[in-house]
This record gives sequence, structure tokens and C-alpha cells, in this order.
Amino acid sequence: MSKQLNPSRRMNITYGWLLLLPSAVLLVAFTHYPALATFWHSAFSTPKGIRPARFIGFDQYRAMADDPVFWTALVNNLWYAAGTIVPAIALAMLMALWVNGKLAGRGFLRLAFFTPTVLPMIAVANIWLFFYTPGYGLLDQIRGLFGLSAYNWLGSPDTVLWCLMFVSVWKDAGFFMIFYLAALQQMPPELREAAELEGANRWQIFRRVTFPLLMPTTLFVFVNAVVNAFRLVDHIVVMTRGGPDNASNLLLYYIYETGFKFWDSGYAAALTVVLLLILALVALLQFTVLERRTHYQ
Amino acid sequence: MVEFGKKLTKRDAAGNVTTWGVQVPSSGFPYWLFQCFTTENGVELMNTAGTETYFDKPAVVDALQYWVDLSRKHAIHPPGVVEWGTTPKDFFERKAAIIWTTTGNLTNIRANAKFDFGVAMLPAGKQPGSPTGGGNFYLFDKNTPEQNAAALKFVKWMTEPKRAAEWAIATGYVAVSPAAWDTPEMKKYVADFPAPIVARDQLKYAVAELSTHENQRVTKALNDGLQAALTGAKTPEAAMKDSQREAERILRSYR
Repeated sequence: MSKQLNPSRRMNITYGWLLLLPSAVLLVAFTHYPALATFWHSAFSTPKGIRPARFIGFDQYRAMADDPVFWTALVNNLWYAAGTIVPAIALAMLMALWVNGKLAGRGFLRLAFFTPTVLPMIAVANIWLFFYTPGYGLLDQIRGLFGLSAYNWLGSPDTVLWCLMFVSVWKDAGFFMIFYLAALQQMPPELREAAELEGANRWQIFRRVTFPLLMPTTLFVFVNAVVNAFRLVDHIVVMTRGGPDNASNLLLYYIYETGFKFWDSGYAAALTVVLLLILALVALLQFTVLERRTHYQ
Repeated sequence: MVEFGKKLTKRDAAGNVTTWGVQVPSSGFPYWLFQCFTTENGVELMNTAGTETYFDKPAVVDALQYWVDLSRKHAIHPPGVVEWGTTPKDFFERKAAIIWTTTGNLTNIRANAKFDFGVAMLPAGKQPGSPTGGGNFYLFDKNTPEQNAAALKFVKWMTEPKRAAEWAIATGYVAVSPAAWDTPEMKKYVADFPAPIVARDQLKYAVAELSTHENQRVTKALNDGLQAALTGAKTPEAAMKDSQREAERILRSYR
């Protein structure tokens, strides 16, 4: 005898699936299918006018291991991530704590901190391009006041990546501040008052009360910061084009160049798969290791 | 050029340079002006089929060494990578005495330089020389005949002598046909301001701009090497060896 679901239960299941359908379709169409398709494409050579694509297995990945530009971009990207994520989060938290307090002109301060986020990326990059311009830019004009000679900030491999990191921290910190500010405003004042009664000083309150309660926000902001560190492309296009000698080339920009300047779609697909794997690995670490240390109210 | 560059480089009391003797931009697409150095040194960067490059030939390495030495050895050229965008401004703000740049800057400089300036052919090494520059019009064989007829009409309109002269006067770019130089507008313009003739006459020493299969990629290999040498990250010889190895890898499948 076959097990029959009663009609109302079957109805419920159908209903549930129907409700899930729109988001499932979107997820498959824009996330899962492209990822699998990219992986599939990376196993083929790039079609040329005279020669169609053919199956080459893992050849693209072998070529990647031999490609010095790929390694430079990867190492740059790791430095870039290390140099932007922690400073941006720390700065965001600091700014949020500051503008959360009672001080005159706090609305204006909040606005000032948030402004970089609402500006379009390309406009921001152009403004900073002017700041960094050797000889005429803001930075060099200030240096000029102290009798220092012009310095080519974006033209020197020693400083170019730092310049890009600085712009990102400046831009992201204001955005992350908003999340911290929201979290701080949600925090019940009794906790703080209780700690004060116990005789805790300000640092202890921050260390033992505020900071742990902010952990869920920190996790969310951290995920965002990591994603931002690996998806930067517009600033590079405007400010450096990856130069000089790949000193500011990051993975996504290299993918863009390979895919849309060199039209080597097979190799670009392989690079994309590597980027996806890196991001998946990071996300996995974040949600397993950090999640356990995060206290949700 | 080195001799004049030394005379023209000026320093303040603290020893900081206030005017560089010579300035050759190298941001973005340094291969282009590098081709001036190599052509003058009597060497070509690629074969006409575009399947081979000669980046590591000794004459090419020598040309790069010369460029690097302008700043490293003779101290008459700004160190590192020089911006294209600020180079004309450096000239009319008197921060650079001699600049190498595109003819497309001529009208800009004429309008903004508040002093008497001159234009000369690029200095000859073993021979005078420069690469060509500029873009092309293409018609595709997959177009419909009507599309191609319309495109052809547009190309003819764009390149007719009167328009070419107008374009050359407005920008400084070399007028594209001998007939354009014979138009009354152009004749009147150069009678008053003979600088554009220099670039036209230099064309007889010009060679084709670097162009190979996978052009963007091969060019990037060369650009990366040039910037590595100019910033001091690699010696010219090591940089050109790396560029050549990369170009070999890219072009292997076209031979």
C-alpha cells in the first residue's frame, strides 16, 4: 500500500514550494547557473575567428600557475584585503562610538562620515586622482609648503597600492559606521548603567559590554568588507589601470582585462573560478569559525 | 639631447629640481614612445606578420637603457613613471623644458604656453624615427551592402581634405592626406604657425606602430617590462627578457 499524503498536507507543500519559487529561480539564474557555467567554460579554449573552442580540461589552470601576472594580482589582492578590512572596520566602530555620544553638531558629523559612501565610485576615484597627481595634486601642494619635491604617488610601485587602500578605507568606513550606529542605538542602556554601578571604567565597558554586543554587526560588516576587498575594479580603471608594472593589479581587474580587453574568455572563466573559490572559502570560515564566537541577543 | 637636457635642468638652493631638462611620459601605454627610442636605435619591435616580437634584442635593451639613464645616470628626466596627463601642463608651467608627446597636444600647448616655443623632430640616434599613431576605420564583411555604403560615405566625409584640415587645426594631429595640406585653410594656418609641418615631415622616417596578434596582451607584456625598468624594479635587460618571454608564450600558437 502506497503512503498517501492527505490532501491538505500536499496542498501545504505545493504552496510552500510556490512561495519559494521566485527566489529560487532568481538564485539559480543569477548565482548557481553562472558559477557552474563559468566552471564549464574554463575547461575550453577561447574561440578565435579561425578556430572554434575545444575541450582542454585543466589546461587553463596550468597556464595560470605559470602566469606571473596572476600571482602578482593574487598577492596584491591579499595585501589589499589585509590593509583595508581591519582599518575600515576599526575606523567605522570608532566613528560610530563618537557620533553616538551626545555632542554638538552630531548630525553634521554623521553626514560628513557618510558622504563618501553616497558618492559614485568613478567620481570618488577622479577626486582622489587629483589629490595624488604629482606636482599639482592636493598632496603635493601640501608637501610643497614644506619644501618637499613632487612625488608620483600612483606612478611608484612602492606607494600605489597604499594609495588605493587609503581610498577604500575612507570610502567604506562611513558605510560600515551606519551599521554600527544602528546597533549602538538598539543597545539597551540598562546594561551600560549596570556596568557603571559595578564600577567599570569606560574601557572595561567597551571591552566587556559594548564590543561583544556588537559582534553580530561586526560579522556582517566583516563579510561585506571581504567582498569589497575582492570586487574592486572601478577605482583601478580610473586611477592606475593596474600599473605601474602590475603593482596595483587586483584579481577582479585582471579578470576584466583578460575577458574584455584581451577577449580571452576561457582564461577569464578560469580566473573567475579561482576568485569564486577564494570567496567561498572565506565565507565558509566566516560562518563556521566566527559565527560560533558571535553572541546573538 | 642629454647635453641640452643637462643645460636645461634647473635646481633650487636645496637641490630639488624645479625644471626637468626632458620628460617622456610613460603611464598607461609606454610602448608607444618607447618605439621612438627603438626606431632611432635602428631596430623594429615586431615582424610584419605580427607573430614575432624582438623585445630582448640588444638594440632594444640599449634603447631602454638610454631612457632609464636619462633619469638614473644623467638626472635630467623625472624618476619613475611619468604621467601623460600632466606632461603638457608641466611644459607650459615651465617644469619641463623639453617634452615628448602626441601631436594631439599641439593646439593645447599653443593655447596655454605663455612663451615662445618650438617643435622639433625627435632626436636621431643611429637614424631619425618615430612610430605612427592614431586609429583606423574598418568595414566588416558581415555588414549588409547598405550598411557598408553608409559607412563608406561617413569615412569619406571624415577624411575629405577640408575636414581633415579642420581637425588638424583644432587638435594638432597630423592632417591625414596630402590634399588636406593643400587646402587654403591649412596653408594659411601653417604660414602663420609652421610647427605642424615638423610632424608631417617626420613621417618619412616613421615605422608602423607595434601591432601583433593578441595585440592588447603583447603590448601589456611590453608595457609592464618598461614600467618595471623605469621604476627600477628590474634592470632593462631583465625587464625586456621577461616581456619577450611573455610575448613568446602568447604568440606561440600563431606561428
